[in-house]
Amino acid sequence: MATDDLTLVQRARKGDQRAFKLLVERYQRKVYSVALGMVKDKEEARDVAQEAFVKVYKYLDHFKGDASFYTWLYRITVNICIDVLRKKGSKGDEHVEFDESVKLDTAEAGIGALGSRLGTNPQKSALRRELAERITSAMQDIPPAHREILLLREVEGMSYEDLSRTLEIPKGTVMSRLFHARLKMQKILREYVELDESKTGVGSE
Amino acid sequence: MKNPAREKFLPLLSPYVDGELSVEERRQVEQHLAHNEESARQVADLRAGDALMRHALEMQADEVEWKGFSDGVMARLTPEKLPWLERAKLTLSEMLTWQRGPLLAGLAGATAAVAIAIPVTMRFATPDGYGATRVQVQTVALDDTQANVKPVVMETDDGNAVIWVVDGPETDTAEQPKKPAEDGKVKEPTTTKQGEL
Repeated sequence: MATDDLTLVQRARKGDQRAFKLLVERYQRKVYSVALGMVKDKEEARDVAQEAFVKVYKYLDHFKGDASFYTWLYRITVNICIDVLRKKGSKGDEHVEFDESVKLDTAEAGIGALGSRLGTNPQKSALRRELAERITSAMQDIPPAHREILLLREVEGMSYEDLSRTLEIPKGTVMSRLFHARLKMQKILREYVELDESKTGVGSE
Repeated sequence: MKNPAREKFLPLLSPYVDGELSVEERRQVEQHLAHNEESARQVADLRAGDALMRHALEMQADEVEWKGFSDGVMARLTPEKLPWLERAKLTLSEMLTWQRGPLLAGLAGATAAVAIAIPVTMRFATPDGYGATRVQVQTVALDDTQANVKPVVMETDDGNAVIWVVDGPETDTAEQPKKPAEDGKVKEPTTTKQGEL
């Protein structure tokens, strides 16, 4: 049976490097995925992921254990990503104002564009390198706050409670921010689908 | 034209997909979806979008060579050097935690090897000085050729000597070297011995 995170953290605190290595191996893929979704560049995402683990190790004594280890780890990862974006001065770093209380224009969401045209079976349609890269790229077109909540939800499958704790926002904000973020992604993906269909001449699966 | 029911349920569609609604809210949303095709399509879109994004990120992560990643992280860690006693305790603790199986197997193997080796060694042990490879045998001739005894000195590396006094030859025939007989066999010299060593 795998040793739980907290036990590994306690052992790592006492200097057991092997315990910390196990934590790295347990979360490396997910931390990398979050970083990649945030910064887009693969090498940079790898560097961010390593930096996140180094930082976690450095501040291991600061981890209280009242929240999950991974929520803390992802919070650190996201913060490093935001720093990287700020240094780069990329457009993703621009603080895009968005009012989550604004009523949604349902027409803008392009309802039915994905479910019926792209299909819900990713094995059939989504497992294409081009689409994967397009999605990663599309993530750069949405505000960082939307990006991070989407990534934490989709990569780690964090609950709203965990998202609230990790991002330090109320649960109600989690709910609305996630919905807005998804609609934006859907819009971008719909454009991709339309472009794809016009290229291939395929309307649906 | 806006549909008030749809306006009401729209914010609940995302948490519905995420399984974050209460049982009652979930039941209400499902009732709404059964009657509102637009909302039902939107739920399908949300699920499709999530699945696509998840798979895209997993695909990207699959392309990474993870073999040296954790080693790279560990190489960047520079913990403060602990006193040797602490390090020894930690090493022992780590071994007992992570390598308990191999450690116990190794100990059991070593114990078994010792248990076998001790009786075997004791059984075939050679007496001190006897048959040792570094013993040189020297004979010392005596001036008195008529003597019946002859000393044999075994000198060891450490300077000690073991001296035997063996019976000397009594007859001339005993001094002759062995010669092959006519039939090709070597005949043992016949000696008359006064005693054995």
